[in-house]
Amino acid sequence: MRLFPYPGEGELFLARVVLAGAILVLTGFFLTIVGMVRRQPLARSGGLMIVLVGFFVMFSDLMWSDGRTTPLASTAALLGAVLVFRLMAAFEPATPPSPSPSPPRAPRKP
Amino acid sequence: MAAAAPGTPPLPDRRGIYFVNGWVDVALVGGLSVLAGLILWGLDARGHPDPVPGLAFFLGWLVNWPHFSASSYRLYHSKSNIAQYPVTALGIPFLMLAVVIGAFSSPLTVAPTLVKLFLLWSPFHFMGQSVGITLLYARRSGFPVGRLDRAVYSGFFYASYLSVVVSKEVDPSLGVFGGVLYPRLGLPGWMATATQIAVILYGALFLLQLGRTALGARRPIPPILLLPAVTQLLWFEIGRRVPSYDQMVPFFHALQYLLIAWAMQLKERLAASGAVGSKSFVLWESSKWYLLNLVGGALLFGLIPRAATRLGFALEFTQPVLFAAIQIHHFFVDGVIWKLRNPNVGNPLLFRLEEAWKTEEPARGAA
Repeated sequence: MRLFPYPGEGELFLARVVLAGAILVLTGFFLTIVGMVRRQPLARSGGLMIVLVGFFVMFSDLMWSDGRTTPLASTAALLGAVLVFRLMAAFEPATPPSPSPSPPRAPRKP
Repeated sequence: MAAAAPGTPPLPDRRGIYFVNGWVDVALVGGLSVLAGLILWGLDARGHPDPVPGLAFFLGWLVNWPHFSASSYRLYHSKSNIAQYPVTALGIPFLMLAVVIGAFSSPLTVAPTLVKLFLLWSPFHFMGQSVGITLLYARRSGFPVGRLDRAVYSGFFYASYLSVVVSKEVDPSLGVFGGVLYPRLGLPGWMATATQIAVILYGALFLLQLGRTALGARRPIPPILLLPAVTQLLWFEIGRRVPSYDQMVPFFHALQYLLIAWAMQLKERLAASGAVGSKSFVLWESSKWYLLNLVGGALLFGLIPRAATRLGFALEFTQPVLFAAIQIHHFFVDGVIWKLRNPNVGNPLLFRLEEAWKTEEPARGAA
């Protein structure tokens, strides 16, 4: 059963959507881990944003496809959502304020 | 007064536990919602399902919408705050804007997905706040919280969250939020029973662990540590049975939030202005802050969805889509700005109203 039809849909289209979402999620995870290891908050948060977008794409596909009605897929969707929410709760650590520039040196005495 | 046993953490001044005092803190953190829940549950059982129609909407204007504005205000009111969280402050609004454009372009696929995600995320956000408030009052009362304590407390809150979400998602029929239809996940029925058992088990563990820690530290459990757990349980358990109470849960969540955000605001203003605390200072700063957030809330949830109808969409569509997007932005903001581990957050949250309320008397004999 499909609740609302995708424009120009087809099973191949839906499979591609899932694949695209999964690639985004994996890319985002990779970036997040790199950001955490290298202590680059921008990469970490950017990676998490990509994870969220990828999850959104997969989630939208699941919601409108027959797969929604299988217990495994619907349970995976819920657990995936909870995992994403948990990840987003640690979205961005506070960036410490940059140190103030050092005061100009006093001119040397001749 | 008996001396504390050696090795026992000193018991803080009883008043130090509360931001304002026992009555106000208990009422706002959960007392009012527990009372309202029991009353509405009783009325519902007697055939009065919605005794005050429209009350939740009215309270939304006064409390719930300002609470969203308060979190945006806290993030965006100074450049240094934005610099601390640049992706959240500058990146997430663009992401949400893109999702809203997607929802308006694709009202039958993207919009329901956005609404669905929001509806799953919202109780998770409530749960996060309940955990945070429990830990905050533990810190304020000097009650020790180790890793195991934290894991058990979180386990209970998670179980409670999953229980309410699963119970709603077992039904495979369509749900409706505003004018947007969304599908439910159609989870297997046994999951509802399993999560309810998990709530009971984790509830018992929660109490046992609190008791064990209290015995180990040789000090009583401050009752307010139990209040967020009881409150959340009632929100979810009574809420799923009594629709009129369910509609008011966001209001009670916002009350909790505003108490803490207000205390933080006073503490920061006191430190930034270098002013001496006084009643007029508290009243002036509080009124200014509340009015600003009242207007901010009306702008976010009243004006923007109405303005979006100019694009040719009905308010029944723009409202749920924009409500979802604005609230997801709020979930992100709250997730980063209230980390108790951050000393710039954790330390000011030990603030007591008394600090700002009491007028400092000039020293006698001072020139």
